[in-house]
Parts: sequence; C-alpha cells; structure tokens
Amino acid sequence: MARPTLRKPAIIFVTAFIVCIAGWGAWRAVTWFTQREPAPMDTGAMRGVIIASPALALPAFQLTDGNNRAYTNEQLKNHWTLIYFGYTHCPDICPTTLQTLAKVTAQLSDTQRNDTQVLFISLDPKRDSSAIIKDYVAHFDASFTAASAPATALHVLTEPLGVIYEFEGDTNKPDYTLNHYGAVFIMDPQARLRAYILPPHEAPRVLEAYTKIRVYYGGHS
Amino acid sequence: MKFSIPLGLFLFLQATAIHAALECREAWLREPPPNASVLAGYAKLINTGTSPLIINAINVAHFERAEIHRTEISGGMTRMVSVEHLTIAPDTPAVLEPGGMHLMLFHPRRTLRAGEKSTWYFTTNQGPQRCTAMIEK
Ligand SMILES: [Cu+2]
Repeated sequence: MARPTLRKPAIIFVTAFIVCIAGWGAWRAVTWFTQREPAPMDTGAMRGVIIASPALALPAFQLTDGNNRAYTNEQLKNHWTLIYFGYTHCPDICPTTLQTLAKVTAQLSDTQRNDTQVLFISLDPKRDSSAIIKDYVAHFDASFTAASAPATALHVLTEPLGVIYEFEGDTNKPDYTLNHYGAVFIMDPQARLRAYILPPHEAPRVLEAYTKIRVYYGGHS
Repeated sequence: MKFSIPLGLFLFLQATAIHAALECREAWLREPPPNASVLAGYAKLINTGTSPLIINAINVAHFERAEIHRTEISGGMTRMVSVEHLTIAPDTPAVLEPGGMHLMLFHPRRTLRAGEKSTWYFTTNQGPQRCTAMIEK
C-alpha cells in the first residue's frame, strides 16, 4: 500500500525535472539562435553605408525631448530609430537632411513607418530650447522627435557614436555655426547602433539601406 | 516701414545701372522652419556674357544680410565655408543647391511663407543684376 503512493510523486517529480531541463535547453537554443550575431550584412553597391557588427549597445544617456520629458535609452527600444545630429540655426545641410528623412519615411510601408522613429538631436543647447526643437522638427514631419541636452550629457551619446562637432565663430554672438558629423545613425529595437549612413544623403539610397538593414537584422519586412 | 538711405541709394543705382550678364534660373528658398534666423537660397547662376563675372556682394529683400557659402562634406563631417567672391566663367554655370553652395540669408525681417517671392540683388564686377526667387515648401 505504501510503496505505490511513494513512487507516484517520485515519477511526477522526475518527469517535471526532465521537462524543465528540456524546456530550459530549448529556450537557450531559441535565444542563441535568435540573438546570435549574423554575418555582417553585405552592403553591396550602397555607398557610405557602414554596418556595426556586432551592434553597439549605448551607455545610459539622458536627453530632454521637445516636450521637456526625459529621453533615454528606453525611448529607443521596441522600434527602429534614425538619428541625425545638427542644430536649428543650420541653414543648408540640416533642413536638407530632415527633408530627405521625411521623404524616406513617407515611402515606407505602413508597418515599417509605424515602428520607425526619426530623432533629431541638437548639438546647440544654448540656442535650441525644447520648444524650439519641437517646432523645428514638426515643420518637416509631425511624427519626428527632437531632443537635446547640455554638452556633458550629449557627450555620453556623441562619444560612442563618433559624432565630432565644433563651434565656429563667437558663441556669444547670435550667428555662430557648427561644423558637425553628418551621418544618419540607424538604431535597432534593442536601442543599439546597427548602422550609419554617411552624407550626402540622397533619399533613394537612405531608403534602400534602411529597409535592407531592417529586413536583414530585424526579420521585419 | 523703415527704408535706410544706403538701401535706397543701392536700389536707385540698381535701377539706373547697366545690368551684368548674369542670369538666374530656378531660384528658390525653402519655407523657413519656425523661428529660423538663417535660411539658404538656391539657384543656377549663368554668365551669359563673354568675360568672367564676379559676384562681390548680395542684398536680399526681407533679410538683414546675405552671403555666399559652400557646404563642404568630407569624411562624414559637414562644415560651411564663406565664398567671398564668386567667379562665374561664361561656359560654366554656378550651381547653388542643397548640401552644396548656397546663398546664406541672415535674419528675416518678417515671417516668409511658401508661395511668396524674394528678390536678390547682386553686385558684380560688371554692375548690378537682380533675380527673383520663389519660396517653396
Ligand atoms: Cu551657409
């Protein structure tokens, strides 16, 4: 009478143990398979498209967006992001690039557009307040986001991304300019740098590079 | 409306002088983003004469100041350099286009909207010339 009642829980226990081990193994296999770094995407004939392989995770940064809210690594997650650094007192290259990005996003499929964010980061916090950058990017596309921060906080982001910039002219007068790195950075849904595109930015090339990178690294279409 | 004596004199000279062999095609500027204090103007500048034409200065209606600049892109860096005197050869038009050479317009005196016009007054080695640019979306 006693022996069967002892053996039954033992069988259940052993079975549960095996199921757990198998499940854990399967889960590890799936994560290994999905998170392993694929071979770097072949950029073929696309000029000035540089793939980060492996993807580069960013240190914890904090900027302030156009609505005066914190913009951190969290805001880059769960969607793709195209980042362009500039300043609003930039008459030629910055509006040209933002207009190009507006053209690019307009040509994406609905699915792609819904998980694509364009982020403009001002390197000129002295002149570019939250309100100014908000209105500025909205002029190009209502869906665009803008952010900025004091130089030390910007540095946390610009340093790993290699965004060099220098002020030209007297920064105490209104008309100084910025010489700045003009790449468009492609961030993946894990908030990591996946690629960047060097200027000059023609809309067809940016569109082709961005959609191919998404397909290759994201499994999205 | 305030009308300065130098500008008045300038416009008078513009109206009376022999005009330079300078033709301006597809002149446009982008509709200014909100609060914009600087804008870029673009055009194709053609020397229709037989000798080199040098643009020495530009005045633009609705703006405090105008200069010719060139955006230079090298190794991913973008910078603007000022072009003090722009020489246009008879057979080689100067192309002012986004991401390249442009008219840099400082401090609009009022808000400009797409569909409006902006007049550019050039001072050249051959005398003055003007051209009309469209403000585009
Ligand atoms: Cu300029």
